[in-house]
Amino acid sequence: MAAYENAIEIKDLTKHFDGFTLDNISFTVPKGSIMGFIGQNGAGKSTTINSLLGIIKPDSGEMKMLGMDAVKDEVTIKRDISAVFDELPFHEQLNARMLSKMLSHIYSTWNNETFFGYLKRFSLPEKKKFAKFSKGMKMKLQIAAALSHSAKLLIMDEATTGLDPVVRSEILDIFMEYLQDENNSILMSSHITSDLEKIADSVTFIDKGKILISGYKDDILDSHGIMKCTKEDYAAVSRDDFISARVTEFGAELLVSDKNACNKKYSGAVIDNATLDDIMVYYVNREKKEWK
Amino acid sequence: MKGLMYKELFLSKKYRVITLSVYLIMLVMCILVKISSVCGNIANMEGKNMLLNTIFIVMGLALPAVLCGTCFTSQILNDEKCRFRQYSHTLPLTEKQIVGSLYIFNLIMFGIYLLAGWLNYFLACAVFDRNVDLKYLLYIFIIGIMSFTAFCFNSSNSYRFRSAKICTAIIVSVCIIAYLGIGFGFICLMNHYFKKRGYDMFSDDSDKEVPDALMVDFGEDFSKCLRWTGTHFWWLIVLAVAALVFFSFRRSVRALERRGN
Repeated sequence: MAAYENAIEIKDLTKHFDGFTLDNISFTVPKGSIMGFIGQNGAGKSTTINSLLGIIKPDSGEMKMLGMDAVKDEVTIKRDISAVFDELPFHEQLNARMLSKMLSHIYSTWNNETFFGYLKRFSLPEKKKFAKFSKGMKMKLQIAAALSHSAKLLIMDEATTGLDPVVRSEILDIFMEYLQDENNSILMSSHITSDLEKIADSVTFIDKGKILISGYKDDILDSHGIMKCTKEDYAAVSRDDFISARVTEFGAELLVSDKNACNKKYSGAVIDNATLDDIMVYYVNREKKEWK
Repeated sequence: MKGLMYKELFLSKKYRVITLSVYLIMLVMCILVKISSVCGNIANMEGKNMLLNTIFIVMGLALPAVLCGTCFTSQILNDEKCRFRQYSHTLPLTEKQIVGSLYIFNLIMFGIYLLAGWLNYFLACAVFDRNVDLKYLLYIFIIGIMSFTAFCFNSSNSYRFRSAKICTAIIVSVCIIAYLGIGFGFICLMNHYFKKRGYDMFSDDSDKEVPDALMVDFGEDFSKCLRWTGTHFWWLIVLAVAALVFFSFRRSVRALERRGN
């Protein structure tokens, strides 16, 4: 495998469906990092991930994974990547032993010891049918399978959605361990931005098929802020200086994309740190500019 | 490929257990009837023969059909239902390998069921003191190959339409058309044969019964004709089956290559 800087490179990816268009999206996931892919339902996260994994064919655009072309070198790339979905993609009549037997003949790098080690760690039964697994168990099983063939890239589509905080925390710890190897990378789409705030190195925010923000998480959180002011002060703020504003009877809260500049321009204004949740909500309402 | 074949093997466990259970039940029934007849418990000769013949047909012929029929399962639609199809695109396998694994698995199953069917027939012959008739072995093969081709036809539809309802509708329509076509063709052939011998099935006096001798002649000539076709044009049947399997495979691969667009 050739040396590469970015685990994923997407350039001008376009996919048109009836009523939805993934519109020329571009972003990169640096090697050895974890990228959070956020956006509301129907924003285009799954379409992007499915295009990347070859589940759907994009209309145009370039995709590279692990330094190789995602279409031309598809089979070679897929030896080194793993996908985790929000629902278990295995038949419910199977059990973990059967799955291990099956995957060991698909991946030449499959490691039974690693797989059964994860099963033990997650307290997953080897002979119990998947039909009897809880949602948390199913997710842990998928992660165990994904991490047992020395994959260099883990792509997850809403993998932690619907899990309780204890299981989520356990899974996040596993991801952190996985990232100890600097050759490993993760692209993780999720609604739960608090998880991404904990572990993501970079974040890409997609809305209505367009990328709104993509960059290092710390830079994004540092530059954005929530400016709190009275209705009177709000009237004096230039509309170009904020993304959108939440106006209530008590005052207004505005998301600003350049906290420092706003601090200078509106001296005395209170600007709090914004969370990824705040950023998502305010950006989604950017067209309305003002909302309640 | 081998991994996906293992998956099919694990998933078909239920069918294998069911067919084996049916087989064992039938075997026990046969042995009981045999013991009963040896002990003279079935006094009525006609009744005994009827019972033995029924079991012979079920055990010797119908059971292999059931066994072969297990090949014809809805594996692909099950993959679709549990989203394995989506997952299979993330595996380091080409579309040909994904479809090929299923075809090879079913071909192996067809071979196993064929052997089981033949063995079963030999066993039935031994139990009921009958001579082995090669014709029955051929019937078992035909039943098996029909199941396999039905699987191939259904697989291409499953990959193409990804809907159990549409696939069922297509296969039911094909069966109805084939049944009506064969039935209509057979009646036309019969009428043509009878007409040549001065009897018209569809004339006004068609209430009159067909003479027995004419029916016997027709039966014999029809069998002869079938035998002659089978002897001289068996390659045409092989070619038709091979073509169907090939085109179904290609159609399945192409449908999978569309990647859920």
